[in-house]
Amino acid sequence: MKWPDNRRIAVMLAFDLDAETLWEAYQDRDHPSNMSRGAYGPVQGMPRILTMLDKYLIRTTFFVPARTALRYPDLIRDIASRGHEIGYHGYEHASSPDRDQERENMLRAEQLMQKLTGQRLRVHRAPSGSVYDYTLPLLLERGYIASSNWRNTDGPFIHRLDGREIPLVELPKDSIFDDTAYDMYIERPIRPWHNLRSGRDFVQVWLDEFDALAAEGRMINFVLHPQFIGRVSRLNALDQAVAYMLDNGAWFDTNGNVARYILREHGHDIDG
Amino acid sequence: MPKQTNGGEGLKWPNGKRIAVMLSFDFDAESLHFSRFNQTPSCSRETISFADYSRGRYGPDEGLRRCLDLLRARQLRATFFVPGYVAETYPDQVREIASAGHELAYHGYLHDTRLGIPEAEELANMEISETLLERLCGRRPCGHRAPGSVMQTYTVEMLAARGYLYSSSLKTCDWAYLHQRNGQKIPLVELPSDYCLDDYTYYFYTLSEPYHRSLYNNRYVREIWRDEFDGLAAEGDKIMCLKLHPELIGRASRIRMLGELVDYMQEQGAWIGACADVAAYVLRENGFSIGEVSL
Repeated sequence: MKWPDNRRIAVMLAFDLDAETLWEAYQDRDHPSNMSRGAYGPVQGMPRILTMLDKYLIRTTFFVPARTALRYPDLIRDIASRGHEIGYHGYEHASSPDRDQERENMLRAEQLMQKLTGQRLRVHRAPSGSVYDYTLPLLLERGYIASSNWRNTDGPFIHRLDGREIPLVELPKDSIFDDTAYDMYIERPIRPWHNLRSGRDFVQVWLDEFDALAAEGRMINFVLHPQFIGRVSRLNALDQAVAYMLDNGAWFDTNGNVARYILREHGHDIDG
Repeated sequence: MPKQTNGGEGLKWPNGKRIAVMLSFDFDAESLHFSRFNQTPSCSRETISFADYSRGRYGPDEGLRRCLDLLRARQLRATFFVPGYVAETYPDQVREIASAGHELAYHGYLHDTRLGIPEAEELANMEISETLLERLCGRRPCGHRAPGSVMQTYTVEMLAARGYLYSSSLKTCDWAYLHQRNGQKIPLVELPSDYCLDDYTYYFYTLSEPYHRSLYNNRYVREIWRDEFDGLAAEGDKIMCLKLHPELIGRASRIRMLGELVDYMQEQGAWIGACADVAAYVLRENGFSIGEVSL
């Protein structure tokens, strides 16, 4: 893959702005302490994140459940008005195994985001990574141009359906680039998550991977959660990493813009 | 301003200080281990292993002394959240804490961390524990931290009704802020914290279910706390509420690390005070008078 302006690697500094929906997915709606952890993302993490993105003039993608947009409409408008992209991330932080139900979720989320930001949703990351047999056809039907769900390669690749290429780019993700693998900590009897790492520590994992992938001319699609990465010590570490990546040939852009570039390079004619 | 952070954003600390730091100790002793075992109110010495019981006693038998020495050497006032059971079981240690000038605050009766404790049961826990603490130190607690930081849906209203000044269980933000009722600020401060500021995250170890194995070296922990401190102090209107357990932070090398960190924070313009002192300041800055509450 040749990236624009001889850049060595495409980097999407994408965020999953789950906020309270992450905890609602754990049935914690009546758990004030855990719900407050979700609120930390919009309330405290996001101002720091938006300031950093502005400082480096980086545009990126925020995958936002519709429920989060209903709770924080001003924040979603602010994100969009700074030039960032909103991506689909469920109505709640959940995907339905039923195609018609999921289509309904998408339709409602798309309408809400259009109303709030004027943006048409074109990029998709399933909550909790749940992808079903119907997912690709449904994304094609609804005009999505990017998916960030597969983990099988470092990407990017163009999806195929029934033996032919479709205008849908996969921009894969993996836990290695997901901050929750390092900074999410849950104390509970069932499925506890321990082993908290420092920002300096996990950013080094990312920079090592960045150097090696940049040498191959590949891409990175981050999965960052404002409620965890938004703590000041972690965001300062990320800030340093972003500076390093910019100095070393990274093309930072949204999932949508990276997908558009790839589709055009492959002769696909896409609208918008 | 997001409504969750009412009264905290833009706050200036006294005497040009850059940040309010609270050294808060959850003095749980073995009750920490009761609550992890099966999360019922019937937990007792007999329901946990000897290993966990004896680990819990490291707090009153060894770690607490080092915590108090650290504070005394620097003339700092701290807050100790003490379950009623601990006040009953270790009255001498709790009296010693109080007589050194530190704040005692409510932390459940038996360190019950269940979500959904019936309201009447929690009210009874609170009444018993407040009385126990008052008996030892001569004043009723004005601060609350839910065991395990598991706040109940009714807790805020219960604290407001009982005249508490602050709660320290939520993780909403790094500001101290005021709770609200019907969109209006009420005189109840939240002093948020986070798992990354809790020694339990790094130093708790047990093989009992739900098992927990993660032990860190002190340099790693100090770097996280120092990075958090530096970032928060630079922002100017923030708090840093360290959650510490005498049983865990009270090990010799860890106390030494904490002492170095405290010295660094003081050099760097931290106001280090008890939770009640910070809460009272936040209330006054928001136009509330504190009345006759003795801090």
